[in-house]
Amino acid sequence: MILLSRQLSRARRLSAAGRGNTELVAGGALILLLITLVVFAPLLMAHDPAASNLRNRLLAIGAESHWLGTDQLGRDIWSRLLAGLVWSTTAAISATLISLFIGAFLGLSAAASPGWPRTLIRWFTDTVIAFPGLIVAVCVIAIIGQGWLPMVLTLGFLGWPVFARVTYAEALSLMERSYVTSARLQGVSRGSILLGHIAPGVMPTLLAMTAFNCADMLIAESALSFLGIGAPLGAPTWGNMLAESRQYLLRAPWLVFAPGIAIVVVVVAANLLGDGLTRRYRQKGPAPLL
Amino acid sequence: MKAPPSRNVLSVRGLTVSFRKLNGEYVDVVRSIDLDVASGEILGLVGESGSGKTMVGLSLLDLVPQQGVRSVESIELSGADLSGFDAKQMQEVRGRDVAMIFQDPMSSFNPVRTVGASMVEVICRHQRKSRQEAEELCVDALAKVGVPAPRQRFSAYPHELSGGLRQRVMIAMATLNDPPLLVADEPTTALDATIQAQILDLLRQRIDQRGIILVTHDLGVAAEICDRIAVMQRGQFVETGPCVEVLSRPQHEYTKKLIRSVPSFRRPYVVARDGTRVEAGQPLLEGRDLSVTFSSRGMQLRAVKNVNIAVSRGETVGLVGESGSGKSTLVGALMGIHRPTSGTVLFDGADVATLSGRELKPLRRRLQLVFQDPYASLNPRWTIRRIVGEPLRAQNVGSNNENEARIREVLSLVGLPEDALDRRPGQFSGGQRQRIAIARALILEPEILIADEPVAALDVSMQAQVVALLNKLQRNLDIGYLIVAHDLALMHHIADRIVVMYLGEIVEEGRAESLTRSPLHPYTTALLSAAPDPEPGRTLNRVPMRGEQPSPLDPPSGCAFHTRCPIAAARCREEKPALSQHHDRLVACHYPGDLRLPNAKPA
Amino acid sequence: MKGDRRYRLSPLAVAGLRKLLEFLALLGALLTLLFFLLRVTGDPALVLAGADATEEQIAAIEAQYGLDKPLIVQYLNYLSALIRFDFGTSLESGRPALDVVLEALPVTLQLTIMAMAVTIAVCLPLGAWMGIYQNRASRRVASLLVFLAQGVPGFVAGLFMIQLLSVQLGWLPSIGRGGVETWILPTLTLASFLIPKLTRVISTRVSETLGKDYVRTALAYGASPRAVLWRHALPNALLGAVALIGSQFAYLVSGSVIVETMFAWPGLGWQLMQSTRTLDFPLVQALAVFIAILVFAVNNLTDLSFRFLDPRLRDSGVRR
Repeated sequence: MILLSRQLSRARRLSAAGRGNTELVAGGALILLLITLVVFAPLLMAHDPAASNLRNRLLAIGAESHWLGTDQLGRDIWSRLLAGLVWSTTAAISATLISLFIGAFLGLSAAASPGWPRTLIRWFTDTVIAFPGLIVAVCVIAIIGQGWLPMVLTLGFLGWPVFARVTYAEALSLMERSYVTSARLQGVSRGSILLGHIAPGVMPTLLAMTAFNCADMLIAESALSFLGIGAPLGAPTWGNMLAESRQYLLRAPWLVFAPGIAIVVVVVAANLLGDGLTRRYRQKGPAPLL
Repeated sequence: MKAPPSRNVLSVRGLTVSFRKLNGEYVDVVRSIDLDVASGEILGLVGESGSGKTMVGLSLLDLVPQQGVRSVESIELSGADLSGFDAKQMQEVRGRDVAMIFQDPMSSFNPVRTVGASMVEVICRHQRKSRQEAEELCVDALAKVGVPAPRQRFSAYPHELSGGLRQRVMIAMATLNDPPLLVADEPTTALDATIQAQILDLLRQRIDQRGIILVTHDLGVAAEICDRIAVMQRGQFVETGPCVEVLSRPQHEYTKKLIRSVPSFRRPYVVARDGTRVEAGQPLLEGRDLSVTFSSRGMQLRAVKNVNIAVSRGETVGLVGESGSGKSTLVGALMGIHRPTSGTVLFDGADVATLSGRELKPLRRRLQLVFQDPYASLNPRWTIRRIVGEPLRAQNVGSNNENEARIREVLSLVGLPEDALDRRPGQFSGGQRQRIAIARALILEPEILIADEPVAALDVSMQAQVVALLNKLQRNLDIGYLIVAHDLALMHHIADRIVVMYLGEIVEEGRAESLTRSPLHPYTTALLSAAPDPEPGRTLNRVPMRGEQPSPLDPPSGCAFHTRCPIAAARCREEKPALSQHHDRLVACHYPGDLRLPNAKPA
Repeated sequence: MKGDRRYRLSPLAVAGLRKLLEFLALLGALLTLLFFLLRVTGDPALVLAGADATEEQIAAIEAQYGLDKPLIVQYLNYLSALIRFDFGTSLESGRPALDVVLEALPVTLQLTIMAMAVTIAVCLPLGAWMGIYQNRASRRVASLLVFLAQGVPGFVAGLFMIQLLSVQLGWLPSIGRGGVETWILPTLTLASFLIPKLTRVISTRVSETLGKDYVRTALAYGASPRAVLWRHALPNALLGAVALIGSQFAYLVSGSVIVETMFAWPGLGWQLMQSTRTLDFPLVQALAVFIAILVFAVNNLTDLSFRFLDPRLRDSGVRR
């Protein structure tokens, strides 16, 4: 009973948080829908996304049993979209989480240790952030090979500086608050201060940034696939679908629009969520740019 | 009012300002007030935060923020009724017929333009003048408000000027078009006492035939220079009248309460130290020959220089000085926030620097700190229970039940209801927050409490409450206080001993009442004469103190105060005076007591 | 007298020199990393000789390019050549890598500069307008549109534009680099990478600046809203935007890889894609060096100009 009432009050708090925050509500709803799609993707696929059927090549939208049509090899677009959704979102989220952990760790470390570690971390962060990420990714992937894991690792290890920078700035400003000084003077250990005061204070910003970063990672992932160096050729990803569509622009425009719009929907959903979270915690301005 | 209407510079009838709240309702922040300002008169608008006093000033210029609505029957400014003016006409009025002086002169100037450019813009907006002519007028105006080297300052950027100079420039800018009315919104709140005195004197000088509205929270400031006072509470004038009359014979309950809450040298304070002042006993916390030097970019900033200070149980030591005097750094060194460059901190006879972390822990229980800003000193995400209980957990004392009982006990001790426990700091006012901070400092029953400007961020009525609380706790728990403050009048009432610091050094130290009655160091004298005092009848006779505090990066030779001292002699420039015993005082001056207060203040 | 005075560089020059040294160190690290990664993961001789080359042919090629020597010797040779500005020969075309890069550089410069110009031309007025009129209905519509546009990745926007402007309407060529008509789509595509984000940032900055105390001061001294906007709010808000645009240049260079590949423009990005695919390591290295120099130069020039424009930073030499 107690548990139930606690759940209820949490739900009430959540709904109160959503009131007047259209971005949060809309973004949250869209994300929930996308998660459902990802979870039930195998059930929702009408066809095997890889199964080609040359007799049904380039069927238009609304075709029988292929409601989004088929591609140049007669593969079902809807099923390929779903497969791509799973591929892209898992890649984007995994890469973001890697970035988040590296960035939060380095940012907190820099804030907590003045002197040369801070200088070094900040210099390293500024250096990596100043670099054209995609170009480095192109070089690295060319060397270590294509595929889901190489791409996630590359993006994850390139994307952390934004997190590090924001974590550092926020943590440092929190550390200058007098409640942290007070805790230090009471003899509260450095670890407890980080966990009790700093980390919860940084969390809201990081949460919003994570949402924005997922969107950016998804874009980067599909861009790499589009260039032909992300996902293996022929794999059902949105980037690949877009790249393949270019030969059939005139005959089959839906080949561009289906994956193109899918990307837009996911990115908009993540951005909405990020904006909503930002507003919820009253941080000013949009998140730092990639 | 008393002045005949023809002599009125400004005459306002039925001014109301409403703000639209988030839920769409309107709330009145200023409620149908009438107000008159005669030429050559300073009207003080006095009120606590949230009283709507600032909005009165802005609404005269029709500059209320977007969510606000102004309605008014009439605003007569030198004969013309502004209430019916449209936006274009109001633009002509602003800066020509009314000029505003804002509180924070740093943010009030465009940071990427020279102050000269800002001033020229003001002239050219309202007068047909060539650039050269305008420039000459500006330099002239700067010279008139006492800006040294006005031609150079003309092409300076705001960040290159000190706070006092910036405010002088602001006043110069306000008078450029010779407007009949000036509105000064807390013009001295961001400044140190001695600079505040200079700026107030300047305003008084520059009044000519103008009317001035001075918006302030500080009754003392109003008492210094205002001819009439209007006391505001919740958007209304509760009392209006000649300054002396309102201050000496207040009619309204709120005015009486407000006046009682402001400490003055010449009458008892609401918080009395019941006569008996404590003699310093065996010192418990001691700083010996402490120096703190910060270095950055190859420059050395000696924030604290060879300071000796001691606090014993049951006594209150007031540490007084302007910003940059090193008082906060000294506190930091005593608390272990800053590592002293040289010297030792002793607690109960033990050298703190030689103790290990584990040995320090029991000492921390006995020495606690209360911070200035109650908004930054409480974690907004934590409940009050967790905040107040943090020291208990850090020290690992007591069982959960015992601790809960202690938290409740200490909360009731500082006068907060029990239902505060599960709320968060955001739901409390500044005064309540400071009580919570005090509760946290008290929960381990410390023997010494250091408070860095504990009431500076609070309204005066809140100030009095918090001071009373500190006083009561001291009596019950026999705590020694080291209170850092800039308010000498307050220290006069609550401290046993006062230590005055200037540029990192102690210049005078002695028993509170004796030090405030007959200061020996010229700096103490100047501070006392600059301190605004709400008791009416004090003639404006300040000790003339020249210029501003020199940069601590480049302190003057000899006596650090000689650059501003009215009685400085050749010897002061070369020879540094040592802090030595003189009568009942320690003082660092070659000529102690030579500079007297213009009108000795009766105890 | 003059000799007595210690010679001191201005803080700005010191900061600039430090940056340059840091950059050179970084470049060295980058090249070393690239060199070893490329050599460890693939054998360029195999790529060069082709799939059905004989042992002798491979050995001959290795000898010709010095690939038979120990790795460390190759590395030292490579470094000493670099110092003489010799980036080696492209394995694919047999031409000096430097020539290939210098040929590609103007293409990328043209593309990025045009895209930057379009971005600024759109973002400044649009962002300023959105920042000023916070409460207008038209502004809300605009900001919704900008928000949606932010959800469209640049290359997707490019594909949509190709579909519309060149396939459906037939107005513009969809590929290649030639006359002005072939410039439009690549420029717009690359510009669309930045426009939504930058517009939002500028709009926030302008509205923040409008809330500053000095804007209130200007109003209180009779300045008209228009004068306040043009003399105080916009210049100050855009001052920050200058620094921002500089820091976004790297992002634009990233985008140029995609755009050049999409439209077959033989710029640095296009060359990079080709050379990584064929493991043409001298060319990859030369390209990396030039892209790094380009990004570094733009970043620091905008940073310097920002510092110069803001009097608060002019004599401190430090930002933040």
